[in-house]
Amino acid sequence: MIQFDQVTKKYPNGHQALSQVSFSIEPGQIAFLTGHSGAGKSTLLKLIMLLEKPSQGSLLVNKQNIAHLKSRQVPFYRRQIGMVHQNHQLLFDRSVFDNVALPLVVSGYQSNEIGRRVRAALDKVGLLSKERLNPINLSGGEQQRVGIARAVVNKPSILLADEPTGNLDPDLSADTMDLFMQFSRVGVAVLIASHDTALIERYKHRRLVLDKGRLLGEEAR
Amino acid sequence: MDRPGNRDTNTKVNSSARRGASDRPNERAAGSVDSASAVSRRGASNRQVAWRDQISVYFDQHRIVISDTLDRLWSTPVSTLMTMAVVAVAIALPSGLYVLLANVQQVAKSWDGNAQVSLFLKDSVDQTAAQKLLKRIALEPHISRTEYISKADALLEFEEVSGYSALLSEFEDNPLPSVIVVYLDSPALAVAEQFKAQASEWQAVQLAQLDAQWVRKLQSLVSLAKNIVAALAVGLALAVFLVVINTIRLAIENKKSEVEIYQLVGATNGFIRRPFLYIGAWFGLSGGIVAIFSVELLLVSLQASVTDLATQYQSQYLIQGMDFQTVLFILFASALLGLSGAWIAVARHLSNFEFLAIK
Repeated sequence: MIQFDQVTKKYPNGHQALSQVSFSIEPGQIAFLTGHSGAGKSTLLKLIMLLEKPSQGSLLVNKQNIAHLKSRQVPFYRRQIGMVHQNHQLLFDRSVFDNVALPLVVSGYQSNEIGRRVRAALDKVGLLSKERLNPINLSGGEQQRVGIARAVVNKPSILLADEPTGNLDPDLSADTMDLFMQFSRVGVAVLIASHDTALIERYKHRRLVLDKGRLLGEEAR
Repeated sequence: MDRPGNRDTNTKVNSSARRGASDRPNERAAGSVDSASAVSRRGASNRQVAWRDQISVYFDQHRIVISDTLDRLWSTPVSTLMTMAVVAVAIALPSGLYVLLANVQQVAKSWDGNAQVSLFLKDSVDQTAAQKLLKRIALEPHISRTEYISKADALLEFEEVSGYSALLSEFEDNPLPSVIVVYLDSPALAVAEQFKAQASEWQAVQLAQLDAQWVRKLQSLVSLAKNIVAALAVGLALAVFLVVINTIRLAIENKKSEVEIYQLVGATNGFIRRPFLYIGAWFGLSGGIVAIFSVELLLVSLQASVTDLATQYQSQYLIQGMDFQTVLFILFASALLGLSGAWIAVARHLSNFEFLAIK
């Protein structure tokens, strides 16, 4: 599903964020991406989202080398990927419902289908009763669940999460992890970037450890 | 304008992009993990069923953008009105001048564009001699028609037009000469000059005077003024353009984080551009509407003084407003100006942070 082959990313300022990283994630698999800040976690996620392109090596997503996508194909590629952002990236000038509907609206779904799917996603994260609220009136944990609902509403085949439990207490973190595991059970490949060691220790998922841009090796436990 | 997200279904894209494009409702079971090629094949068979849906979605998306952008403009009334006013002034100025000039031209046209020569006859020339002269003139080339105004007729006309009959009663005799007005069939000055020179030689003619020159001067002045207005219009159109570009640029800056989020969830460039283009078109269109109303208002307020002036010349004149075609043209042109200004702003400023991937 996601296949890194000797991927190196060097920024124009000379900083080498990733060095010859190779790994792959299969459908239905959950992997933690861990390492100190600055180890290259964000860069790796950005490469998958096509926010950056690899300097060397190849990155295959759904068996396709995404470096070869033309710029007009990039939006369609991104629709296959749901991303949960550390700072949630919500729009505070519209309701929770409209935030979650965003990926469907840009993909051109019909409004009745949008309503159905958005409510299903909000129900899944337990926020169905708050669809009319503005996200600014929600707690951090709730905002983050809005972000998760938005990431999965389009039924993506890949789910990326950047520090999804960063500001959450342990109970909420566990809830979030439960959600991710539910998605992986229906075949979604889930990649979670986190330095929350307590959380990572608690779950027996595969671990990709980055250190200064190199993949130290992985432990599947 | 760009189609929304699913437009690429008709064009050749590779399987991954097509998979996104054909990601129709019902097409994929929850979390299905079919290979990309299988999905794209299914997408191909589904496409014919879906095209009606796509068209309705297309119009839905435009309807939503239209109401969203109008809401957005409504929510910041002061800045919206200011921009609208600038656009309106810039459009109203040349439009108003143009309409006024069209009226002046109309008035000038109601005079004969062809030259006339007035032959003032000597006092000694009586009616029969004048009739002889008329016949002779008729034989000359380039004569359209002639008109004989006897001393008595001239007196009557003078009294009627000027209202200075009291002044004339001071004279013992009728001081006015009899006149033959010769209407030539050509507007050419040379023809008129030649006829005038010839007529001046005639015994019966005291004075030959070339009329209507001022009409033609007026007409050429009007067409000169029209050219100036056209140049002014181009300059002001440029101003509208710049105002819209700047307004849209600010709008884009304000929406920067929103645009980034749209890009993250897979919005096409067309989708992201669309609201800004609509806002530009709204500014142009609303400015055009305000401009048309202002010009009409100006014309209505001028009508009173024009009527007053026309009455003094025993005449009536109704100011010609803009006809339907002109109104349509102004609306269309102003909307197009706004739209193209927005297009330039969007092309320049969205590219600054779109496709961060392509470096």
